[in-house]
Amino acid sequence: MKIDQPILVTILTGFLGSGKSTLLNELLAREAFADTAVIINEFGDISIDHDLVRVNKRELMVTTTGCLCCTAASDIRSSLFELYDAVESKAVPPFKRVIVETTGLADPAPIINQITPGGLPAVGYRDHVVARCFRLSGVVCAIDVTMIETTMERHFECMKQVAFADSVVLTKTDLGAEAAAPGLSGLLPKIRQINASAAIVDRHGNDFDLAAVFAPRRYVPSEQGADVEGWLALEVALAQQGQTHNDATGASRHAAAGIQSLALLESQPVSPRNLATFIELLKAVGGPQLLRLKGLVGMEDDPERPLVVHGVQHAIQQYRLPAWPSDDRRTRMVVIAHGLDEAVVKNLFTAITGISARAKAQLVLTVAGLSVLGFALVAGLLLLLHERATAQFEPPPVIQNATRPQR
Amino acid sequence: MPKIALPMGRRVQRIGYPQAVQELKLQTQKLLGLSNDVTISVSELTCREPGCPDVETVVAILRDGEKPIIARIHKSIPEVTVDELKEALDLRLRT
Repeated sequence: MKIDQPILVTILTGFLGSGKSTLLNELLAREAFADTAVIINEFGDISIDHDLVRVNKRELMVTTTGCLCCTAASDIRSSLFELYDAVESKAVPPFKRVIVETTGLADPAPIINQITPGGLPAVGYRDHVVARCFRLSGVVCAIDVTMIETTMERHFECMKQVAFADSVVLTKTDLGAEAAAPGLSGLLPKIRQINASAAIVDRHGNDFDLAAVFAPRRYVPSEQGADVEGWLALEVALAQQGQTHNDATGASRHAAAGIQSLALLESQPVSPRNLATFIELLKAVGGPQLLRLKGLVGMEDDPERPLVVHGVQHAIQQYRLPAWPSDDRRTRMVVIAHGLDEAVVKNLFTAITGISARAKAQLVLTVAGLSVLGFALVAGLLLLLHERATAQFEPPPVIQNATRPQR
Repeated sequence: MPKIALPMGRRVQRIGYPQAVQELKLQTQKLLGLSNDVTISVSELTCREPGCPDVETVVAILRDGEKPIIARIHKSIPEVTVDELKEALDLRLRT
């Protein structure tokens, strides 16, 4: 690939369920953003977002699972070099820009350090190619106004995502006043405390221009404030000490911090009623520990039109796709949770969705039969105990008819 | 939100990350008498040392042209007390 000028890379970040993929879909639908290469990074073992982001034929997509900020095997330099190599070998046509959609749990610091001059030193051919051919243009952070205050308070990554952005897009501002927690006027000063310099735009505002949010520019970390500079410098210092986020086994900081991703797969279509039951039970079991639920579900009532499920903590959205986005027609769901028992979730999913109607009827009959048997046993046992108790505590026989001795 | 130990060892309502990060930076500056031009970075990382808690708070003092001073506390940022910060900084400065 002949490079006259570096290809611009924009990072699209934001916490779980903040609307990153929705923004990306809207952007990629525009003619002006043809010739865009997309790197989608997902937290978990199975990827779903790649099926939900519509990429035109002229566009190129690389998906990675794990997390770019902490998985050695899928760092941003490897993904960018993969794109470069694909064009170089003429496997794909050249592209004009790259958009990287991070996981909702990504720490932007290590990602930015890998593609910023003065960040992590380039080592070897791959790193030098990436440094020569790609340049960080901007960091866009999607913020769900209904959740951001709580998530920034509870999750350090969320705070860092906001701090690193040079452009902030407020999402879900169209939701009712009861959902939009403190209102925008109260929220903006809190965002400004974390990030004083970013441009802040309302996704549902009259003057919203998505193309302008992703317009070419130069990302300058030093303009993002002292916290950002400090975090980047700390990352470099720790890397030089050999103490970055993850070890050689690829264990992530999120797993260590108790956040895990559970992958659920089912080959048979699921009934709407069973799915609703599963989601309600999951919300009840998970409570605030349930951070994100997303999935593609094959439904019994219309197997050709899969259901997309998006859950952000307690709020669940569902809609049908006109067709399956790929040949893979299995139901696949990802549950991202904090400290939730994996076995409980998997058992719940299997119990609710993975049993055929016939097997379920048999299960109901078996349970009913066992209940009757159990009831009979308990009743018998109680009767036996009652008889024994009565026998034990029965007062000694009194001779009622004994005649009083005569004085 | 759960109640936990916070600066000065009192049991008070838990503060969130944005406030806790600024508190730790301020306390580090006060404890070490640092001027405003010294960069103090507070971050949270996985601890990889066997037998240690999952998460550790890392406080770094970064001066231009000097080796960074990095102190570690085996707790999440909002859980760190002033005494623990002081102990970690003392330990780091002694070694």
